[in-house]
Amino acid sequence: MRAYPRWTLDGDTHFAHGCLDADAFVRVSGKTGVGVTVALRSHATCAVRITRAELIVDALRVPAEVPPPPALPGRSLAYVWLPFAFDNNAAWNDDHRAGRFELELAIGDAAPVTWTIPAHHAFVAGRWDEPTARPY
Amino acid sequence: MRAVALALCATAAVACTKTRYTSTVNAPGNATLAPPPFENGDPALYVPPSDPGERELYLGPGVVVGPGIGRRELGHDDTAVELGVFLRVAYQERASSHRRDDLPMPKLGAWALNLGWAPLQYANRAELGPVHLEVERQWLVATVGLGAAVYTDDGNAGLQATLAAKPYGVRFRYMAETGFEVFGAFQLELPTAITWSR
Repeated sequence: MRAYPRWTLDGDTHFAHGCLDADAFVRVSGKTGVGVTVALRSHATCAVRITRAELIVDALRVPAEVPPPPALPGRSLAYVWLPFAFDNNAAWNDDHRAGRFELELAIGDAAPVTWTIPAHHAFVAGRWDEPTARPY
Repeated sequence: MRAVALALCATAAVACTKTRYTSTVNAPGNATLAPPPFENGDPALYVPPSDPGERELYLGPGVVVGPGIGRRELGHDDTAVELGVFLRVAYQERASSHRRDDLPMPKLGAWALNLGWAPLQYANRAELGPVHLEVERQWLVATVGLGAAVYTDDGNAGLQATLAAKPYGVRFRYMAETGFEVFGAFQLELPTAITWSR
C-alpha cells in the first residue's frame, strides 16, 4: 500500500523546566493538519498552563486550540492534545515542508518560557508501506 | 498461440518496467484531528491516515495490425493489410489507491479516447491509411469504440467502429466515397498511467 508523508519532530523532543518535564509526540498528520500529544510530568505539585501553541511553517503560523490547564498534583502525569488545523495538503504541494512547533508554557508564577521543536513533513520510510514496516 | 505468447511477453515487459508514474501531489492522507483513542506516551503510537483515493490519467500507446477487405476494388482479390498506431487516453478517479505493482488499466466501464493513425495500408501497393478518433468504453480486456476516420491523402471520411477482446479485435468503417471496410485489429498496448492522490 502507499505510504503517506507525516510531520516528524527533529532533535530533542524533551523539555525540562522547574517542576516540569515534558515530551512531545506527533500522533496524527494528514491533509487537514497535524495533532501533537504533549506528556507533562511533574516532580512536585506544579501549576502549568500552555499559553500558546503554534506550528510555524515559513510565513504561515498555525495556532492550536489551547486546552485547559491540566492538574498536576505531586508527581503526576497528564497528556495534553494539541490539534493544529490547517491546509496541510496545500502546504505539502507548495513545498512548505519544514517548520517548528512553538509552545509557550507558564509554570507557576514565573514568566512563560518558549519550547521550540523543529519539525519537517516527509515520507518516513519511502513511498510504499511494506507489510513488515507498518508503524504498529 | 503465437498471439497469446506475444501478449504475455508484452504484459511481462510492462510488469518489469513499471510504467506507472505516481506523483507526490496531494500525498498526505486523510486524518481527523480528534485526540487519539488511546494514549500511553509511547512515541510509536502514531495514528496512520486513511486512503483518500487517487486520480489517474491512463495513456495506452499501442500498435494495431490486421488483414481486411473493402479498401480497394481489385476484382476478386481485394484483401489488404493495415498497420497502425494508436494512443488510448482515459481519466479516472478511484476510491482506493493502487498497490505498488498494480498494472495500469482503465476501470470497469471506463470511457476512453482512442486516437490513431495507420501509416501503412497495403493492398496492391503501399499507401497511407486513415487517421481516426474513437470514443471507447472498456470492460476489462473488452472495448467498444465508435468514431470517425479520414484518409488524409484523398479526404475520404466516414464512420469507424471497433470491437475488441484484446489482443483481438475487428474494425468496421463506412467511408463516404468507398463504402464499407472491415479489418482485423490485433492490438498490442503498453499500459501506462500518471497517478496522483485525491
